[in-house]
Amino acid sequence: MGTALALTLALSYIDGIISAAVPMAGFRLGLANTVIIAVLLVRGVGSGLTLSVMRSAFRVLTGGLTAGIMSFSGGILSYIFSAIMLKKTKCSLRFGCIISAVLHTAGQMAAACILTGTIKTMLYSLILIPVSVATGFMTGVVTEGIVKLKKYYH
Amino acid sequence: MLFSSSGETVCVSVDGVTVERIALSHEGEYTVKGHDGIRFGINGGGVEMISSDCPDKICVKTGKITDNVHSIVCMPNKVVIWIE
Repeated sequence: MGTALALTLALSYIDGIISAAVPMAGFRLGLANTVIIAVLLVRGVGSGLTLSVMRSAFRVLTGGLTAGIMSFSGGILSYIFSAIMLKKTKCSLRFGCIISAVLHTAGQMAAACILTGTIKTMLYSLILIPVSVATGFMTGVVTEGIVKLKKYYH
Repeated sequence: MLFSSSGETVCVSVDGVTVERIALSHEGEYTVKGHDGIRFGINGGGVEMISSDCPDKICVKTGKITDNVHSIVCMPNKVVIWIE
């Protein structure tokens, strides 16, 4: 669990550096989500939730309170639905990760609207949500790889 | 974007309250009211964030917006700039 947490925080930080190079406000690859979803599948709902919350707490340290709230609102909405879809339904891992990424964006856009008090901000979802489908698919492929790797440890 | 159109006025809101409305034709550099650390510029039919005191600078990274679909958002300062 400690290793998974370290990996999540490191990936979250690296994601911030890589994503800063993409000329698109609010863009993130979602690298840390690969570990969170893998842990959800391998270790259970509680462990994944802990990682998700710790990741947002870490964002408070690197980006300030607002960044932390944004991370938490997207992260928790995304995690709840990922957990339900991947544990309670027969949805594929890739599709689960796409839903996870889309809801992460949706949660953040909602938080942005509430925090800034402007509904106008929501229009940006039209651009970010299609991008989330793409990043969600990619993290889904990576997560599949991580879950398969797990076999070699047991 | 498909259904975007250009506007004439740059609007600035802080905490959901519109604090400034400037004609797009009034080119120049401005400071957001109550936030001396945030500067934005109006030029060439668009508006862009020039500098901000926030940690992630997502607002500055947004670049120049020229239509009424995009908006420049500085989350830590609760500042939104858009054109209408």
